Amino acid sequence: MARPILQIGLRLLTAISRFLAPAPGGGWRRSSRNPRDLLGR
Amino acid sequence: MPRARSVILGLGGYLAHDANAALLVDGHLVAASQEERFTRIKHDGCYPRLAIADCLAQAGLAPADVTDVAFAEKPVQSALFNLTGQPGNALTRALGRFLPERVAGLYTTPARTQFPAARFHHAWHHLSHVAGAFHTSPFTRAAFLCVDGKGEDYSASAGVIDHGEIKLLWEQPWENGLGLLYTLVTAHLGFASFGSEYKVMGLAPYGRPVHVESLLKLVHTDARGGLRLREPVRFRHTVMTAAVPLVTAATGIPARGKNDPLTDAHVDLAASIQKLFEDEVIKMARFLRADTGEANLIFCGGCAQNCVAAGRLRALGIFETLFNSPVGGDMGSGLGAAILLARDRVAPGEKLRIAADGFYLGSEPGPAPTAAAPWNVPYTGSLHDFVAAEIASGKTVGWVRGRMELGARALGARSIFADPRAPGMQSRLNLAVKFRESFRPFAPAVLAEDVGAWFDSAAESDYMNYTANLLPARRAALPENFSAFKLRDRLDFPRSEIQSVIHVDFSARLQTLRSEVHPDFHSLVAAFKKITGLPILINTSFNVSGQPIVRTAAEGWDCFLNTDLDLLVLNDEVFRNPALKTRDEKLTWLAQFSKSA
Repeated sequence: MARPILQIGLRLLTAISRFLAPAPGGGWRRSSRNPRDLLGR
Repeated sequence: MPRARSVILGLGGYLAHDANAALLVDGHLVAASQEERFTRIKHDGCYPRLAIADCLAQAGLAPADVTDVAFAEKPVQSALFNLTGQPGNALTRALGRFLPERVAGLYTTPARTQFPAARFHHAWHHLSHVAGAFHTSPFTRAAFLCVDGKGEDYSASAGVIDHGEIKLLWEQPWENGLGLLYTLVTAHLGFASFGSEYKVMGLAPYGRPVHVESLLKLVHTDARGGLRLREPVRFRHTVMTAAVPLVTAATGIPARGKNDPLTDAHVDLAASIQKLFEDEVIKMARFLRADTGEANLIFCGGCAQNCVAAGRLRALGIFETLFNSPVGGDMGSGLGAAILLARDRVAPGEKLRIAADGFYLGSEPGPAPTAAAPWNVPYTGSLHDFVAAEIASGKTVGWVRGRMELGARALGARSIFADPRAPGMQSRLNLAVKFRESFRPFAPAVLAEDVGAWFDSAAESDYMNYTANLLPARRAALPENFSAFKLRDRLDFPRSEIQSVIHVDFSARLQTLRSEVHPDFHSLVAAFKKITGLPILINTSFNVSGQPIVRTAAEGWDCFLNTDLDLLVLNDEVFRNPALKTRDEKLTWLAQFSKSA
């Protein structure tokens, strides 16, 4: 049961990430990472 | 009210390569070590249990004393990137923040088991590189450029660090950037990808960069050094091997097998990828200088280990001052993660200064094995004077003294020393001592006070982190058709008095010796200068091809027995080589390391 749920979750996450991902083609992008973040894993 | 004691253990390279540990006690760096030196597997990426134990032992602490563990990676971000193939975003960051620690699963389980009472932290991988370099540098403020194989989901980061406060301005998302391109060409040239890139750098001066345009067909690039492979190559060993035909298709040069001879085309390809690499790094640096206006630059990440690029970057003067950390790659990532956590030990606006003590941060070698006793060589007077005289007479010497160095380079505590003037010394050391490719150059260790008399840069290079060029007055005249010579002939052609440490293009990977940074090694070279007038020795790591640098006196003795080294120094004692084994016997002994090469 857990495995199909995980697979669906992963596909959903992949789709969202693909939508949000920077366009391919390289180059510097403004960073949105928080440099002080030591808690996020 | 006194602050609670802080014992921070930084861990890096775990489940990747070059696993390492560093220990900061109340903001002071006590010890740091790499796991490969204990497991004897080069670039070992296992949980660094032995390196941790060594750090704790040096500090006289137990695992229960550790208050915090800082990892040099955000494992959930890495895992999601590997699973989805897409760079992180607000959703993945939120997942990483709010999912419980145990979700990091395999990654943190060994540490959670070993340190059940400690708090756990995860630093961005590139910022671990930045912090490790910046806080051991002389700067209080600098721009930083981190160029790497792969962070969690990006290949390069840039910004400004001011007294430890980091402004992360730019990044190159995805992993298939400049580092991956270099690794891909390394694999195409028949060297083990991941960790053999320095061999390509060493090969490059023999060739002509005639394939740069062909290599550029593989990538998108721009005027700011933004580079990405056109094909979606991933940073995994199997995929890297499968992607080698891309290089063949772009350049028309067949891939070289591990044991195939090096052709002129391969050598030219090495020169081409090095040229492309340097040009892209320079574009990045120019962009960053214009964008930030900063005078100082921290150059770090795995790609910053390319000391030729660092040397060119410094010579161009794009930034007024450059710091290229000797542990700016993964072997120092645990140190950086620990520093990021320790920054709150100082008031806002102050810099946490980390005394790296020449990066001699490992343990002492321990006593000489009893088996060595019959071959002890008695001497009177100073050890340095005695050994310097032996080197001046043409002897090669293994040297195991004091705390071990952190990082890929032997800085003078686990080294092999020899006279750079001795004819054929480069081939002798490469083939009969280190069992490695004959083209590989050696580094000159030069007294800092004399470097300007030999090389075109008198600036410090305490950790072999820059190249410089031999002064024209020290060069021999070359024939007009020198560039048409075969590789072997170019190598053997007499180019200077210190042939073994000067590349065919008259460059050298310098280590400058200041007595306050390398007191023991400085004393030895000073003694050598007193005898010969030459302030330079060959310094190469004490190991053989495929083997990590020796750590203990016993390992030094074992390695010594299986090489043609003449003398071995263990602590304050000197030993002669008891028996020269046959080449087959040595190769049998050497074979045990081939799996980890």
